[in-house]
Amino acid sequence: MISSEFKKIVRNSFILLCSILLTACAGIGEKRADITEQKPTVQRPAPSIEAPYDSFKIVKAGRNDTYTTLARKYLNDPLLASTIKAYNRGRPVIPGQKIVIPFGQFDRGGLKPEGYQTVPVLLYHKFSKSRSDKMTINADNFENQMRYLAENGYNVISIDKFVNFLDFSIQIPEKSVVITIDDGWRSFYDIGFPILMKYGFPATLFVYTDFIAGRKSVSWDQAGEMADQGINIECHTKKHRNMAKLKEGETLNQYLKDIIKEISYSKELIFKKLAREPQYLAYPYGATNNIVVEVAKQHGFRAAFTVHRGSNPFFVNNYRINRSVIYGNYSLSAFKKNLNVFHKRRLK
Amino acid sequence: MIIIYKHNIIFSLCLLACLLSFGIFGNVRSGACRTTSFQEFHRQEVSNCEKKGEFKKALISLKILRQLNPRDKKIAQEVIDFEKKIQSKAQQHFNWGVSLYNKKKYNSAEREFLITLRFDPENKEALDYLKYRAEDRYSKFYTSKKSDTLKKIARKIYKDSSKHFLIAYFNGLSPNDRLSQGQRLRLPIIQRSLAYKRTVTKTEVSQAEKYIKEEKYEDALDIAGTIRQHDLTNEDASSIEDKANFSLGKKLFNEKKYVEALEIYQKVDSGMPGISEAMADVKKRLKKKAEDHYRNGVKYYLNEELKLAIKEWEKALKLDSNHPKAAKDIEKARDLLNKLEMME
Repeated sequence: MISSEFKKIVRNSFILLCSILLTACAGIGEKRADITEQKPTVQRPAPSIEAPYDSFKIVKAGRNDTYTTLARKYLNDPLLASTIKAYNRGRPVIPGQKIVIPFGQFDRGGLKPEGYQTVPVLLYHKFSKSRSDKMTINADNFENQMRYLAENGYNVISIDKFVNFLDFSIQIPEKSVVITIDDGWRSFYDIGFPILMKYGFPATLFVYTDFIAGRKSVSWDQAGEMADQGINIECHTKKHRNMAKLKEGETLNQYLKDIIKEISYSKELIFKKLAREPQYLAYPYGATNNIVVEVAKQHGFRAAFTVHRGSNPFFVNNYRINRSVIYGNYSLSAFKKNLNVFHKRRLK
Repeated sequence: MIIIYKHNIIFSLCLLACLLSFGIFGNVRSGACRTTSFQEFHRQEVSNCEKKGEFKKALISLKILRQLNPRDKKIAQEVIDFEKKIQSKAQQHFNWGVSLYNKKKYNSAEREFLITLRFDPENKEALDYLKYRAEDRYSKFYTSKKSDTLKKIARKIYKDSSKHFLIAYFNGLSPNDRLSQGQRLRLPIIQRSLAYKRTVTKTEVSQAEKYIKEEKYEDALDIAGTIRQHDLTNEDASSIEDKANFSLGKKLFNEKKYVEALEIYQKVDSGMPGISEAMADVKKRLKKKAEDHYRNGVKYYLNEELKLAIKEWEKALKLDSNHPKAAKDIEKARDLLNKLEMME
């Protein structure tokens, strides 16, 4: 009798326990529904200009979440980790804690009460295994510089992101840097490119098309191969003439025609060879004037680069962008002087 | 039998109550605790950011609070008031910017437009002034009159009718296109040897020097800015800037505004006599002040006043960004604060 009653107690308790567990599971279910934001099945759009600058979503951090995983999940770009971190004022990510994910471009231009963001655009030319001179950097120096950027919180961004920043349409991570290489020397493909790939850095190669496919330059196949791996191949004119000066005996009419040819021919050839339309121009010797700028605009270039040393705020003229030549014989401390990422100015 | 059955029910209900109180209520309590902490954080952010002049950040924190408390009318009203305040500040700076721009004080106008965009990133007019109208300052414009042709205009402007093709190119026209009366044309600036240098007048230089003596440094810098618009590497402009910045730096130093003084000194050419000594002097003062703040921070830390300690260390870092300990100590104190918040 006792044993059968005991069995009943156990059975009833078991039933109750099951119902409790079911209730609890339903609770968890609710919680999951609450946290569905953690594992979105549909990829969310990256922050866009269309979203109001102060639009956001509050989510709960999961067990293994970091700012990087959250940036990948919600903004489709792990590089935007610093953006989420800034939005949450640098608070550490703790499981179960609420985190605010920004969907608008709340920090376009990197404007702060104490100043504004500036972006250095670095310029290299030739590479060598061991030799270095003014225009040639050796592999060790280049690798040291890239390692310095990687280990010191710099964010190497693509030229597209940089120009979107200049157009005041997106925000970019703090300490953003752009890497460019001029001319199209073969040594970039052999030495510089693998180092950039090792660090996962995007870069832009400005080629002058008469030089390409020569004995010392990259071939079109190599340019295409690099383009497939995150290197933008852009325009550095046809013959690399100084476009800010008339040639001896050249009339203004001939000059204009030649400038148009320098720019349009190279743009068309790059498009023909790589099936990618160049959008950016680097002036040979960094030299330009208002006629060259007009030609660049009329040929649909979004931006053009000089070699005027200095970093760029978003309001720099898109057709007179500053670039700092990194000479091959620079020490690491000389290199660092070109990494000015913020301009102090009282803005309140 | 009935007694045993009753016992069975009572026992089961007790079990249920225990589980509920441990599980669900426990959960609710800890959830509430976290919510409060998150809300408190953003409430503090509203006042901190407002104090620092970071109104956009303060507004975002307010909006977060509004989302968490959708029925709280007070917060909803606060958001509306704050948005109005930001808009009014943006408009005020924009108006100042336009007024300075019209007086050709471009450097000062630029600052006002930047502040406008900091408050209101959607202000397209401020962006236009800042980024695109600057280009217009490098261009000449001409409004065509009755019977004007491109050749006539080229003769009038460049003393050479054959340059009409350039005007046509700049305005998307063919060289033989007819013009309509009142048509606004952008004229290319044809630089001598395509390397135009602007001549700086003696009056400009002496006016700038007068401004420096009168401590009107912004006005002196405006003159240098105007010269630079046409000639980026102009030496007279560099000299005016160096003198104005050096004097401004000295003034800030005497007012004990060491951070600001250093910022200004950094703009001065390192070859200018006296600048290295002046910079070394400021750095020395900054280091000393930083160390004082660092020590204050340590005292607060030992008294378990973590937030005050962090404030002091932040001040130390602001004064000496290479301070050997402040950054790490801030990190430690913040970790500790977070852990304490989680435990509450």
